[in-house]
Amino acid sequence: MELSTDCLTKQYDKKIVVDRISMTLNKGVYGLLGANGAGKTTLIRMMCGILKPTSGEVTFNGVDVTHEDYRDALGYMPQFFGYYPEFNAMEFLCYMGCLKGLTKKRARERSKELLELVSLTDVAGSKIKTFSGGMKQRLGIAQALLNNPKILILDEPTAGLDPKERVRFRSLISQLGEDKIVLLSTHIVSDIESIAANILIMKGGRLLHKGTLEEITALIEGKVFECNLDRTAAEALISKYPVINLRYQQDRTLLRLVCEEKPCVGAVNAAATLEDVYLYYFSEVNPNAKLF
Amino acid sequence: MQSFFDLVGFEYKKLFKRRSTIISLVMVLAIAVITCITSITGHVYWSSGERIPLLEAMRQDREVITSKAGYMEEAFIREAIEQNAIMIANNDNYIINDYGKHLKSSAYMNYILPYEKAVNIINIIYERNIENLGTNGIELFNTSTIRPIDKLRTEDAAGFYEVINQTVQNQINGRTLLSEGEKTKHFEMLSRVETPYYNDYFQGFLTFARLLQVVALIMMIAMAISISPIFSNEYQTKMDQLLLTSKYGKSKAIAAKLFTGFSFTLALAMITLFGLLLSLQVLHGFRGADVAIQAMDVFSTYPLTMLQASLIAILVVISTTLLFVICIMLFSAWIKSAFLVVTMSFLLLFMPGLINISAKNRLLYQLLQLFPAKATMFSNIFSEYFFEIPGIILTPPVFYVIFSILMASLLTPITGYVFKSHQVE
Repeated sequence: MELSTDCLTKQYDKKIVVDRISMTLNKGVYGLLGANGAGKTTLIRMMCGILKPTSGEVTFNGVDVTHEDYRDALGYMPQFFGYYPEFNAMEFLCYMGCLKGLTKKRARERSKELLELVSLTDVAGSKIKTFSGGMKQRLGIAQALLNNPKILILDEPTAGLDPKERVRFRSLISQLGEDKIVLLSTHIVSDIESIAANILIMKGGRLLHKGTLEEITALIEGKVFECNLDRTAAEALISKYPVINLRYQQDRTLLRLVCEEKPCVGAVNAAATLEDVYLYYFSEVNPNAKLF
Repeated sequence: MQSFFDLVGFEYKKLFKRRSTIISLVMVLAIAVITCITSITGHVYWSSGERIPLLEAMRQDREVITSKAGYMEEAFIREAIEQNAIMIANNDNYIINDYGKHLKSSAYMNYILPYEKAVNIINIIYERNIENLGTNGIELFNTSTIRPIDKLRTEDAAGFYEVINQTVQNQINGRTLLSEGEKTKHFEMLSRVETPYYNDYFQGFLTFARLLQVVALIMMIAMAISISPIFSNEYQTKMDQLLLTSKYGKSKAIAAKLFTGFSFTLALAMITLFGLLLSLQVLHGFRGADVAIQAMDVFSTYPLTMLQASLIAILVVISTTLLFVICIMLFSAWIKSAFLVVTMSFLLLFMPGLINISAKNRLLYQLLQLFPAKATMFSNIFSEYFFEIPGIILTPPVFYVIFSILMASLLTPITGYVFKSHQVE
């Protein structure tokens, strides 16, 4: 099972949104991490066949993204999930099931299973327009799973979910990753950290890094420091380095930051996390930054 | 195939869950009912001179005319001439005052009404005054001038149809805007017009011909409102992303949408138009099917009865409607906003109706005739101006149907392609 992109590029006039991305994904959960505007959604749309690349190609086991067999293997949950307000959850899923090639009977059975999985059985007959954001999100996840897809692409799937739902969702994704290619795009680092075996980091339309959590965090190993400083010293550091965490303790400030070398006397090296990596790549240093 | 019809079922579900569809259908139904009710309510001064309910006047008209139903053979024409002669010979049939000599309603009812169609045709055919011909020569209450029938002798009845044939041929020959090819086609059609004509009460068909355009346009408004969201709603609800990434999203789902648009149109058009024809027949007593179209317009060369002409007109309106609906679906797939689609559809529907082009500019004139506002008019469907394609001359009904089928066949795959290749950006 192999999902590949080859030199995938999307350009609008002079702006390159996705820049020659080549990658191969196999079974497992992949976390696509990037700040807003990094090109994640554009990349995903091209991988789903709803946006034509300027150049490059996407294939699954050699089948082109434009082919019906590719779509047959695909489950997609977009960032902004569309629905028919007048449909109820069951009708909506049955319709999506038919679109995905299920018979009406099978679509109904599968819809029931999935409504249970996403805890929407009680509201199966309610109109979608009456659903909360979290409920709609869960319905979106359910529709993506209808055809038991081999490729599951989820664009910001946990937005709008409460912490309990998020935990449930993470374990569900982990299970799905056992026999599918799951690509999870988000900027919620903790989601990726807890379920993605492989992490892809995107910035400015380019794929910066690809690897396991250990491989990715190893990139900044020895560059994460913690220090306890007075206000003046802390202000000097936050205007110079990307700050990961900042905590006030009486008249002192506890700083966690990423930098190439020890930022000050007394700074202690800390074990790098994915959040550190994210901030290292995506936070911008403000030279005029001040403490409150 | 089952999956296709399952998808069609869901498309219908979407269609009927939209409030706009229900409102537009209710609007068509309401207008149809109002049209029928207003055509039978109220009072009129009937031929007898008394003011009676319209429904009763229709019944009495029908009774008088159907008493003479049958083929307008020589004997019938002779009788009509004879009765007219008796009527004009007796001054008791007139009110004579300072303003002139006026035929009494009771006289009209006794002598003319039973032969009304024949008298009308005679007055047109034997009319030599071009100005009177312009008004179809029908001013039967004004007898201050001598009418063509007043000058006829009963012996003239023998040559009635020859005179009609000759007059129509002269008319065709005199039309400078007709090409030689069109004239030949007219003569060929004229030779197939069956004589003698059949006389019967055919008000139901006349009313159908009169209402056809209005009803068709109202029906098309309902269709524009109902069908406009068929593709654009997917963009507006952001369902396009899910649809186009699903297995059948770029194939059967599009086919199901197009099928839904066409089948809904076909069903609504057939129910509306056949419903109109049927209800008018119910109101007018199921009469007049065999009456020749020449009873409506003696110069028409179409060899058709009123029933045949009405069915052909329905076929033309249905095919025009199907073409209109594929245009709406194309706009819907292309423009992405249901409101703009409805606006464009309304422009397509009504703008050409406001434009008038003389048949002298034949190409522009005929292009204009292809728009719904023109193509749904009974008189345009059976127009004297034909469509000339090198080597072949087609009458408007034939051309409208062929044109609609060809254009719909061309626009359908384009519509599918436009939606299929939509880019989610």
